[in-house]
Amino acid sequence: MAITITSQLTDVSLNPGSPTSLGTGDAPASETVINLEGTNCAAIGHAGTAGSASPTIANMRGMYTTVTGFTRTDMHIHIWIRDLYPVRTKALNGVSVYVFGGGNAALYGFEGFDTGYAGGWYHAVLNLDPTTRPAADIGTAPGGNITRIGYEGNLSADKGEAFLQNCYFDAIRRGTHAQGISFYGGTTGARHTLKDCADADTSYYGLLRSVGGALTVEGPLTFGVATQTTYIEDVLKTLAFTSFTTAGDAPSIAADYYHIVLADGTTGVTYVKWTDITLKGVSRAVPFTFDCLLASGDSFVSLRTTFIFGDVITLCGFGSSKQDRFIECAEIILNGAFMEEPNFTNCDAVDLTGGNDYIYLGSTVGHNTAINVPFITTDDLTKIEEHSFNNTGGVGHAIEITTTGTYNMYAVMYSGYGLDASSSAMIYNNSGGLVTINISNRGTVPTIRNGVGASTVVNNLVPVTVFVDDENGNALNGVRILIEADTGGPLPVGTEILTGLTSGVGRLSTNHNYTTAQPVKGWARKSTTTPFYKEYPLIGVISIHIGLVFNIQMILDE
Amino acid sequence: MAIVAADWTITRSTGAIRYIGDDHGGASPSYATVIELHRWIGDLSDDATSTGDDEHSITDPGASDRLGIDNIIKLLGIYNIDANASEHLYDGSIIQGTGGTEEIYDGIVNFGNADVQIQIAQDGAVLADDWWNFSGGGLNPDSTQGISHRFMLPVRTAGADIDLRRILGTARRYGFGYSEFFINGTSRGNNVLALKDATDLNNGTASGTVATWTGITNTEGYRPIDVNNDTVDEYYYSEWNKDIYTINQLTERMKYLTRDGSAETMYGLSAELFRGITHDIVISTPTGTFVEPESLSWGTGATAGTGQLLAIDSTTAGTVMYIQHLTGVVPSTNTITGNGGATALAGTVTAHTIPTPFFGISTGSAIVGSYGLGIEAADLAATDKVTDLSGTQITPPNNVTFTVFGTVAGDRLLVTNNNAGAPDEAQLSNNALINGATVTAIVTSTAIPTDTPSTGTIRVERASGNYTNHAYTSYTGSTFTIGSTDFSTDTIPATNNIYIAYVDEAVSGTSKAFTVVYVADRTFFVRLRDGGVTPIKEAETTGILGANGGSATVNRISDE
Repeated sequence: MAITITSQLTDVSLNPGSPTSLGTGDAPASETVINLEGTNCAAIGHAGTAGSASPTIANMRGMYTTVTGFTRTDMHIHIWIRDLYPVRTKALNGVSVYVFGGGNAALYGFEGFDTGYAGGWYHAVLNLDPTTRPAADIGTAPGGNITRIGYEGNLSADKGEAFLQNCYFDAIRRGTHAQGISFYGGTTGARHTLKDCADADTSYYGLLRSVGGALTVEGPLTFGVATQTTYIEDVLKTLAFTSFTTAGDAPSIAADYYHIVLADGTTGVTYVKWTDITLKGVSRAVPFTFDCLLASGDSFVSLRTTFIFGDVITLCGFGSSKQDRFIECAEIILNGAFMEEPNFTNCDAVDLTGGNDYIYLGSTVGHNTAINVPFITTDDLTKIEEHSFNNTGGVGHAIEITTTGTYNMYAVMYSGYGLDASSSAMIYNNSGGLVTINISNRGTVPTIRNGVGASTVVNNLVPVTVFVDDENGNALNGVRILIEADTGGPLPVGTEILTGLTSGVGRLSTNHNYTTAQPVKGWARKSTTTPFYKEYPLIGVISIHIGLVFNIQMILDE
Repeated sequence: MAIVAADWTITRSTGAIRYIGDDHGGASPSYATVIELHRWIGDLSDDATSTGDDEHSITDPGASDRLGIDNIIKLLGIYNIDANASEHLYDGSIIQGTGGTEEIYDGIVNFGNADVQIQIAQDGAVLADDWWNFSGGGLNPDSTQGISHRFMLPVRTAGADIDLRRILGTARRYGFGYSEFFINGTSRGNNVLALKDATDLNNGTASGTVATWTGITNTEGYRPIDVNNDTVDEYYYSEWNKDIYTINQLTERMKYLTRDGSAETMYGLSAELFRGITHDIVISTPTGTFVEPESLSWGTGATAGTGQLLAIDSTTAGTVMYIQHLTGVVPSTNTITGNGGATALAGTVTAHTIPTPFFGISTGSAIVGSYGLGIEAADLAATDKVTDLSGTQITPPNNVTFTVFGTVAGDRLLVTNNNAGAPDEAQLSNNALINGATVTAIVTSTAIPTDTPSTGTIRVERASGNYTNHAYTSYTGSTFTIGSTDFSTDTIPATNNIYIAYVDEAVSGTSKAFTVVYVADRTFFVRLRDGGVTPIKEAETTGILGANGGSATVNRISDE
């Protein structure tokens, strides 16, 4: 089943072939050949002389179409524009969108010859929201509902003669920041690629485009539609979010404009499998959000997906996440996801409070947190296992625990954090009560900052074991063992750590709680009755990660 | 016998392993082998806790290590024994301390008769306390193995060997044969001595008796003696005078002097330590005056050594010195310095085997002297043998005695060579006219017989026909040396008779003996006269002097 696109956008004008002229030039006209959508597009001709170096709406050339007025709040317009003459730079509004509302007319420059504009159709997106919109490059931003939308261009040189039609606009749509297009289609045996999705845009929404093989995202995308079946699978692709900016170099879109949604198929199935897919936002200022809204029966199988400049990345517990990478993302919400070997690089926060959230393996390399601010917030420290944190040069906590309890932390490693009670301690106990942390399997013994009413006990129980064999490799029982603290550790020298006789299997063992490495010394002796054995010295360091195991083979002393 | 644990303690704080049982002479002293000590420590060391004065358990560092065999035990860390404890351990070595604190006690095992008593000389002195001789035997014997003693001695203290760990064991029990055994540097474990003794049948005189034989003396130092009577002196490092005693008694006296526990001194050394010449050393560039005897020293560090000068061929211009080596190594091109400051450069060093006793061998009736041992020539018999400092064995002449019995004090006795029952007046003849006024030599035409006494009297035929008697003080070849005599008025013509008067005097007793060197049988003519107050008839007889001497008895008949 082919990809089908559904749109949440509102068509403003798909056939703007009767525009009203702006500035000087030939009369506007309806173009029916190169239009993108509908039956025509608006067209007009430049005057054939160079535009002004101080462009105004009046001295540039363009046209607009009158539209049914619509609110500016949380509203973006989408418009395709085109100019065939050599245009001035973007700063001089070479290729610009015209909007009018509330008595104000404004131009927003999107392209110019300096930005590589070559005369083709350009998909422009303009945020109209009165509070988040960019400043008008020329004119005054609309002061009320939008009633006119059009195009103006500014020529860079005299062309000697004017043509009837050499600039155009078409397919005007609008929508809120959350409104874009949705894809569905495919079967489990015929999965579609992202390019298939882009190629399915025959209506020129322009929100997912495949240009020369490169995939660009220019608006909200949703994969999967309720009641539909969607199978998307792709490998080694980059979804680059287009940086829409005005001539004044301000984002022409709202900060929350970009988002990718994986929608629940409800009665259908949404299956998305990405391998080595990169989602690259515009910047930290113009990021993208990612929402995995899948439900039972759906699946998002992610292997090495990279999220760059994400805002809130919300995962889900349907499918898998392995070796995914998050770079400079504002927040990652696991939302029940089991993340295997994730990597977080210079991200701001991770929400690990979901019921089945789990981070297994992987690493955090730097996080953008202020002092006293945690990177990962969780209600259960056991949700992090064998993960390493390195915040060298940074501040803030690695983890905030919000719920009292006893937790086993398995092989979680930290470096680059502050001391106990410091604003950059590894763990921030914000539970308001007692948190007991049992460190195991090479985990770093964390430093702790306790919040109001909180207290924390860190136990690093590691095994200290001695296995004793005789010269023939047979277990030797009845060997008396002594292991005591040596210099260089937290315990006073001579503190007895392990003593007793080996068992029938030649073993003597204990568990001890250490927060730092403990050098030890001691010996094994069996010298009361024959066969006598030579004393075997025991020297080592109890690692806070793995404890200490002696495997010794005693030598006869006779 | 296992270790008696109650006799031992360990102090945790000091590592002191101490013996607290009875001393050697106490009621019930105990002794343990070094492995028993190690086992005892090991037994404690794997205990959960220590008890009483045995402050050692699993909580304490290891105290001892068995270095491969049961006979070498190393005490670890601060653990240590002291000298007293060492006296109650045997059958191996104990090593303790490290570097500058290292100490080593090495095991000594003597294979010998059960009752042998042994002394130990170490670092140039005999150890004063011979605690290892115990109850008429030795400590820790093992009769089945022929072992008389087992004990330990310190051989290294403060990180330095005691005299290169050299130990000299001696057995010098008076009345028994003497022996010695030298360990030229002990090794870890047991070091063997082989000292034994048995009753010396030639040493039967009670020591108390021999102690009174103070007439026996020795002239120490480089001594010229013509033992073989060849008129050429040999040289010795001593010249013993046996006084009135037999040659065997002389050896008993020498054994007495050098016995265990002797307080005598010989050559400046304790006689108990005296061994005789161990080395002779060719020397050069001597300076100063050496003193016989005196202590010597040479070298430093690894070349250091000491000895005792017993003799030197010249105290001021010596070329060879004869020493008893005491400590360190023998000199090797080192400067030897005497106690008085004299020096000489050592050259070739020749070691000599040391006999025991030092004097050599006594057969009971003769002595076979050790290297360089000198005895007055007159004290030696042909059955004796001595070895001079050149290493040449010297046999004394056969000095035999001829005795004339039957005399009375005042009788005139003349003993000559026999010529058919009369004096052999032509025994010798004058070589040339003697007519001087101060003649001191009389030369005969033929050589003087070698069995002629070294001093005596000769009769010479004067021009007047008288046979006058002249005492000679010595002779050599064909010349008698006499006191200055005036022969100017009654000359001795050439070819006139001369004969030897073996006795030519008024006797003072009932017999008269004289000694000559036996060369061949000789028949003496004996004439006895007394024309005094109680005259007798002239008595003449003959007697034969054989290899064992001879005698004659005159028949003294009154002439009244």
